[in-house]
Order: sequence, then structure tokens, then C-alpha cells
Amino acid sequence: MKMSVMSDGMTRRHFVKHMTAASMTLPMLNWMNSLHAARAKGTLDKSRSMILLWMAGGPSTIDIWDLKPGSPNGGEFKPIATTGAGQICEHLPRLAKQMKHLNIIRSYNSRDGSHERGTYINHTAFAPVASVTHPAIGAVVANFNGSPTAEIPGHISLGGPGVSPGFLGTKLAPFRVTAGPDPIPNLTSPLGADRFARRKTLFETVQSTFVKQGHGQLPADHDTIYGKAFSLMSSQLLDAFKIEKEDPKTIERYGDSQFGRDCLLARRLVEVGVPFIEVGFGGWDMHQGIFEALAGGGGMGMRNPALPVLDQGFAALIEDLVERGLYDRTTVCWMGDFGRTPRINQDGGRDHWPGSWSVVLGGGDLKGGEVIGATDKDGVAIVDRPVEVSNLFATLYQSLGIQPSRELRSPNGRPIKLVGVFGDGQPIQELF
Amino acid sequence: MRKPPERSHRGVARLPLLVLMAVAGLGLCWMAHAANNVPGESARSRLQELRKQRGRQANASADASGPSWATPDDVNYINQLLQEEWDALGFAVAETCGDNEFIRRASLDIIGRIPTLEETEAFLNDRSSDRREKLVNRLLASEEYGKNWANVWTKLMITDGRANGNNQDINPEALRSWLEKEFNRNTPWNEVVAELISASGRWDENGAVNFLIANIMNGNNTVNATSYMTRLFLCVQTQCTECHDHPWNEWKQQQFHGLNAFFIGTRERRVTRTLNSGQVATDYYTLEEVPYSQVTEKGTFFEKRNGLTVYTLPSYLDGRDINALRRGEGARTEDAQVADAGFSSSFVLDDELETESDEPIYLRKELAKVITADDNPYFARAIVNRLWYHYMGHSFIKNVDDFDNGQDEPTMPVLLDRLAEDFRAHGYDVKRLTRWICTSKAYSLSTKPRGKNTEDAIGFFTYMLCKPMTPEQLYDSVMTLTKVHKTSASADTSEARQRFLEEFRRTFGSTEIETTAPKYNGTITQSLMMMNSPLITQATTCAPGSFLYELMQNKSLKDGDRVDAIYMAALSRKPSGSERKAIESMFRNARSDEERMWALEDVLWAVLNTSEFLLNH
Repeated sequence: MKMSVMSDGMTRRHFVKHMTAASMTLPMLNWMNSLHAARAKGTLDKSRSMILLWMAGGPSTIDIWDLKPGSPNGGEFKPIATTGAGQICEHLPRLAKQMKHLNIIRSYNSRDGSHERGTYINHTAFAPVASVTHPAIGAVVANFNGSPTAEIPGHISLGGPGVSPGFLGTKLAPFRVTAGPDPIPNLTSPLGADRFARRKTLFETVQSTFVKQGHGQLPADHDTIYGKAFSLMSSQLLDAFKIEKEDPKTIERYGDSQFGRDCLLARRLVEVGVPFIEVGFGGWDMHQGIFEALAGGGGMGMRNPALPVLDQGFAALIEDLVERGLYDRTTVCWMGDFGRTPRINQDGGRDHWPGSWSVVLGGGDLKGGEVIGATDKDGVAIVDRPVEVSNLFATLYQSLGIQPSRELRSPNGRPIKLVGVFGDGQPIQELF
Repeated sequence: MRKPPERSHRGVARLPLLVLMAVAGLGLCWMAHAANNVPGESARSRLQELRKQRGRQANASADASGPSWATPDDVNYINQLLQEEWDALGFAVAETCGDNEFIRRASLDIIGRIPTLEETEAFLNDRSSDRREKLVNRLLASEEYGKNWANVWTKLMITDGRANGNNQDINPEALRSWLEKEFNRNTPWNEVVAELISASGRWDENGAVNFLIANIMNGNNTVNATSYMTRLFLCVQTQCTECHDHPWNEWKQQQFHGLNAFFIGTRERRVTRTLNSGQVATDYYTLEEVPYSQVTEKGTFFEKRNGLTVYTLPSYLDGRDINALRRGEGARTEDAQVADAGFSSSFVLDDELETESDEPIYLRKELAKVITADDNPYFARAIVNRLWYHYMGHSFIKNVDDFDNGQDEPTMPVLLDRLAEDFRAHGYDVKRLTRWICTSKAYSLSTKPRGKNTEDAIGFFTYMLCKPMTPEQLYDSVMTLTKVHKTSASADTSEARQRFLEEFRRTFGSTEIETTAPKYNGTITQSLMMMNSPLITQATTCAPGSFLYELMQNKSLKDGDRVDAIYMAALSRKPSGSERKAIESMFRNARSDEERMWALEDVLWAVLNTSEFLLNH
């Protein structure tokens, strides 16, 4: 019953007729058209998207992107050659083929080793303070690259931590979706289109009276969010959320995992112009038995080792974006709370390590196949081209067509730099 | 008598200078920001006078039928001070809100839900001149008052949405029911806070221990507990700031660890049991404390930014260490602190004093005493500020829990201090303070601001701010309105409530505790929930037991009367002309009883989703 109202052609037209004035659907279509026009003209700024692959818990990048064979810190995995400049972990054979499209930063320092603060810093470019909540990068990108009349929210979280939009406000809050049979709960009225339309008409009568009476900002904000919910309910782009519409071969390519399905959904959302999608992939806080947790085997019988899942989903996403011509307007970034300690602890795990770890990014205006910076032979100290939080954010924003030197205004009027305060705020020039 | 501690540690040699600097910083800070905080001589004598009066009032009220907190007090100065401030600033003041708005607002704020249809009608029929005061008293006397405030404080004390989550390491329910009892008994606030700080025992046997248990990590890491304690009970933020150029940063660190050291004898213990499945689960937690004499390390070491390790005894914010407190030394004014800067008691252990008393010293009891002391310049002001924030939507400072941040001074310091003083003099009586606030001119103003600069006027209370409902208020209001919990459709209401709250928490953009002017926090996901979720669908369906069913069964009512009843129950008003028109056309098209019932359901659904219902205005 739930989705049938929307999928039945007749009911749906009826629904759309009642639900949406032309003002709701047309701007989106126009915008999509202008997107294609902009692509033709090469003025793409407004249509650029970002996919953030967020490894919750803090991924062990010394075992994935910056291997240290021969060092006591090196761990169990061997490096393999890739189509890019750097070698990566042997358990990522599919990604190895895609590395010509991706760049590895091996000298990233994110300064804080607590999950909560690391998540905040790597989403906002700032350390948390009591006086202001900084907006997450998803809210910033949706703010600059999104269309105010878009039917689909510009900041979507697929199993990600969903970091607050801060002072940019609830309209840019992460919209949480899960790839699968019911991606957006409560999307349709269980009573059918006619009664919903009647309810909505009366709602609007009562609502507009109250808003016009001038009770401050809250009623207007409530109105904005409801307007967005209505336009989402009646959107013609909702098929984007249905991964089952894909060719089974494509679904298979992304792998039989939630991460793979979320990556596929992210690609579908990029196709309809959603500016920011975060895909969350958890379970990286590997304080013990890290090699089994990453690659399986070892007699531990790990059911779902992380690397094969990552390899399949991530590689399929890049390959698919490239094949569809979406990659040059989609910046992809892979990271997490922090890296993990070079030293292997007594439980065969690694602990929290924000001082020198790796981040992977590509697409948009970025080159591919590069390696930026280096750590020493034991993976402890950064020995070449340190990259600070502001450098990473500046690079991402530049690639997205957002001027990295821009500032936002906090509610108390303070200027807030998009790229934060850690480092000199310059993009990594070698990647452009 | 005083001697340096017989311990060597790196950096100790450089201590005196650092401590001197730290204490000097403390003095400066207090001079700059705490002026007017400490009641002066005249204020003190006033306080004594008020106490005498209070004694008389208590005697008088023993004969009267009402509870002592409901006896009228001379608090005209609240309106006078507000008016003086408004006149001086030249802000236009909003009109007084209507009675229909007032009962909705007061019910949501005091008992956490909208009024029932009967409550609204009874109030609107009351034409007595003191009807608003009587209403406030009635709400304060209701058991729901305690329930509402237990919800509010449980969420403040157990943050990040954990108060409604499932977590075997915390017990918010036990805290909630303890608080509910204390609020309904109207236990003096100083006693409630003292218990929250000093309680020991099992979490199911003494609910008060759950504030600390929820904020202690790994058995004895009390850093979070310390910072929440000062934020909640003193409205002072002591957590280490990231801000490098704050001139008093080092002082803050010293202050913080001195305070944190009061917990050195305390630890939480998890008692487990083995389930049939072989899994080990929490049976209960217990909070334990050993006497100070049994603690080997009498203070704590902490590392400064520059790498030096510093030692501090348990000491209060104003520099009085445990020895000074045991000696009964009163709150230090800024002068005393500067004078004290020549030597530091912070690292001098006074062993003689320690052994003078045979009674065991429990550090948390000492801490509770100094936090809730009459001469504590923050304690009474903090709860006044927090209640004012709850009722007005904005406190006297920008962030409700951030006095003394070096940036903003209270907007109406005289009013704040005077209320705090009276609150102390009346024995920390929370219901009485609530009555003062809710019967003030500021609380009765409309949410429609007048004139320009309405943003600037926030904090001067020239109009009431719209406040979003909390998930608890929303759920309980939906129940009050629709009576869906009385229909057969609802199987387990407490579980349904928990699910709804959890869902709402999950769909919120963030779980931060609001401290500033209210913002609309709703998300698209929540809007969809309010429009289409099974719960709201059920709540707006005319099923036996429900409000709509009652209306339909009452054959003496016409369709228009039923619509009026829905409006009155949901919004405390009748439909306007244009609304009536829109609704009438819906009924005109109804061809059967069933279709008329649907029309009624649609009306209920529509009003339930409007700002006018979802906001507290």
C-alpha cells in the first residue's frame, strides 16, 4: 500500500495534480535542463556534487593506503601496484585498477584522537567549541551548490554520522536515507492522494494565517521544512532512491553489502543533481584483531571483513561515475574519524592516531593517480608535504567550484572561514 | 602549620610562580565579570529581613489551606524592574496575550502538555481578576508538574539523546522517577542538588546517583561529571576550552582540576550477571565513596599545556581548598583572592586539620556544601536564570549555562540578582520561584513583537518567544488531544511513547542541548513522520475511545460544533472566518456519515500539523 500510491501511474498523476502547483516541479526540471546546458558550455559550478565515504570508527590507513613493509609496524599485508603512482593493500585488487582516478594524501594531520571530536573536525574543519556549532561540509556544499527549489534535499546521509548543519540551519540538515526497500519512511500518505490533498489545503489555510500574524521566525522555518517535505512527497525524481531500478548486473558490481548498495544509491542521487551525499561505513574502530577484521581469515572466521566490501563498493562507484561521465563533476573523498596507531598493540589491534594518516580523493577538478606527502619508514612521522585540515577542505571546495577563501557569518556576526583554522588554508596545488 | 607537600614531581619546583599567576588571573577574572554577583552589606541585611518575613509567612500559611509556596509575595518589583528597563531602552513592548494563549503556554511550560478541552473551557469561563495566578497555582500543584520537570532535567543531566535511548550503562528512568518525586514534593533546590552531587548507593535504590553514574567514564573518570555539574548547577562552563588566546585559560585548567579532585574518593562499580545465553549483562551500577582519610593521594596531578605537571588539592572555583572549606572559610570575594595570591593553599596539605575531626570526611559532601552554600554567588542565580530561560525562551545571558564567559553580562542584572536573593531567602523554593516568573508581565506577553529591532530586544523580554515543543511535550500533547492511547489500537503505550521519542531523537539534526534563543529544529524526516506515520494516522482516525469518536457519538453536536471542539482542544481557539469557510466546503461535499467522519479526521490532521499546534506560543 505504502509505495503503490506513488508507483501507479494514474494515481500518481492525480496526486501530482492535486499536490503540486506547477511552481514546485518546474523549477527543478528547469534547473536540470540548465544543468545540462551548463555542462555543454563548461560552466559547471552549480551542478557539482560530492560523495563522502565516511569510515566511522577511524580506518587503519597504514594497512590500506600507506603500507610499511619491513617495519615492525608494517602488519600482515603486502602492497600491490596500482594504475596510479602509489601502491596499496593487496586486499584491494579492484581499487588498484581505479587508482589512476584517485589520489592518496599520505601526510594528513587531523589533530584529535577522540571519535566525537575527530568526526566533528573532519566534517567541519573546526574543533568543537561551546560558543558556536560549525556547519558540516555537507551543509556547506548543499548551501552553495544546491538549488533552493530542489525537490530532493541537498545534504543526504546514507548511514553516515549525519553531522549537524550548525548555524546554517535545519533546512540543510542531513536527510537520512537507507538504500533498500523503504529508503524514505513515511513518504506517502496511507489515506491516499485525494484525502491528503484536502488535508493539505486546509493545513495551508490555517498555517498561512498563523505565519502572517508574525510570531517571529519559527513559524516561517516550520513552513519551509513542511514545504520541502511536500515537494519531496510529490517529486518526480523519487525513482532515484530506488536502487532496484538498476540493471541487476550493476547492483551485483557494487557488491552484496549495505555499503555497496549505499554507494550505488549515492551515484543515482548524483545523477539527479543532489549536491552532497555521505555514505557511512562503520566498524573501523579495530582495537583488537585488526588484520582479521580487515581481511578475514586467520582462523577467527570473521564473517564480513571490511576490505573486500570496501574494495568492491568503492571501485564500482568510481568506475561507474567515470563510465557515465559524472566523475568530472563529482568529487569523491574517502576518510574517517582519524587513522590508527602505527604500533600494533598487545591485542593485535591498532588504537587512535590523528597525527599522520591517509585520505583518498578524486573526481571533480582533481587530477588522478597522484600521491601527496609521505610518512617515515615506520608510518609515525610526516616527512614530506604535510597536509593540514584546512588544506584538505580547501582542496575539496576548490574541486567543487566553491571558492575556498569564502567565509560564513556565525549568528553572533563572527566570520567563519570555510576551511577552518588548522593550516594555511591553501588547496593542494599539485592536484589541480 | 603550613608546609609544602613531601613529594617530588617534575615541575613542582616552579609551582609557586605558576600558581601565583593562576590565582592572580582568577582575581582579575572575578573583578571583571563577577561584579555585583556577591550580595553586598545592604543586600545581606535585606536577606536576613526577608528570612524573618518568610518565617512569619510560613506561620501564617500553616492556617491557610493552600501550600506555602502559593502564598502571595511582594514581587511587584519584577514588573517594575522590567518596565524601567523597557522604558530606558525604548523597546516597544508586545501586547498581553489572550487567555486562550496563556493557558496553552502555561500548561506546556509547567506540566508539559497542552490543556484538555475541559481545562481550556473552564479557564476561559473564569472571569475572576486573578485567574491567571490561580491557573499557575493549579498547574504547579498538579502531579504532572513533577513529571514534566523530571523530563527536562533528566535530558539536561543525561545528554546526547541518551535519556531516551537503550543503554545498559545508564539508568535514566531511575533518575527521572527520583526527580519527579522531588519536584512534586517541592524539595528545596539546594537539597536536591546536594543529593545529586553527594548521593551514594545502587542506581535502582537511590535514583539521585544516576546523574553521576551517567557522566562518569571507566569507573572513576569524572571529567564530564565535573563540567556538567558546574554547567547545570552554577551555569559556569569549566570544561577546557580550545581557545588559545583566552587570557585565563590556565586558570580555567587549575580551577577545573581542583574541582574535579573532589571526586577522588568516588568510583562507580558495575555489577554484572550472566544471562541464560551465557552473555554477561549489567545487573546494576553502584556509586561508592571512601572517606578522605582513606584516599592515598590527597589531590590530583594534571598536565598543563606547557608540559608542566601541577598538583592541586580539592578546591572550589574561588580558590578555597578542602582545608579552607573545613575551617568554614566563607566565599572569597575578588579582593580576598588577590590577597591570597601571595601564597597558595592549592598545594599545601594541612595534615593537622585533617586529623582534628573524628568524623570521616566525604569529599562530595563538602563539594555539595560549597556549591549550594548561601554565599555561593552563582548557585541561586543559576537556577533563576535557567527557569527564566525555560519559561521565556531566553535567559538573562546569551547561553543559559555560561555566566562569566568574559563576553556577555546579564541583560537585566538587577532583576536577576534580586530574584536570586529572594529565592534564597524563601528557602530555595522552586514552585514559588516558578509562580513569580509565570505571573510576571514578561511571561504574559504575546509572541507577536512590536516595533523594530525585534532581534535586539531578545533578552529584554519585550515579547514572548515561540518555543518548539520538545518530543516529550509533543507526544503527550498529541495524546491529550486525540486520546489515541485510549483506543484499542494502542497496545503498549509506554513502549509506543519510547519508540516515538527515540524516532524523534534520531531524526533531529543534532542532539545538542539548546542554550540560546529557540530555533526550529524540525527536519523533513520529522515532518513526514507528523504527516504520514502510523502513530499520527492512528491518532487522527475516528476509532472507539478516541476524541473524534466521542465527538461523533455525541449526537447533540452539529458538524460545526465538532469542528469548534477540535479547534478548541488543539489550538485553544475557535476557527476563523476563512477557516470556517474552507471547512464548510469539505462538509458540503460529504455524502455519507462516513465521509463526514473523514472530513473531521482531516480537520484534526490539518490543525495537528500547523505551527500553531507544534509550537509553544
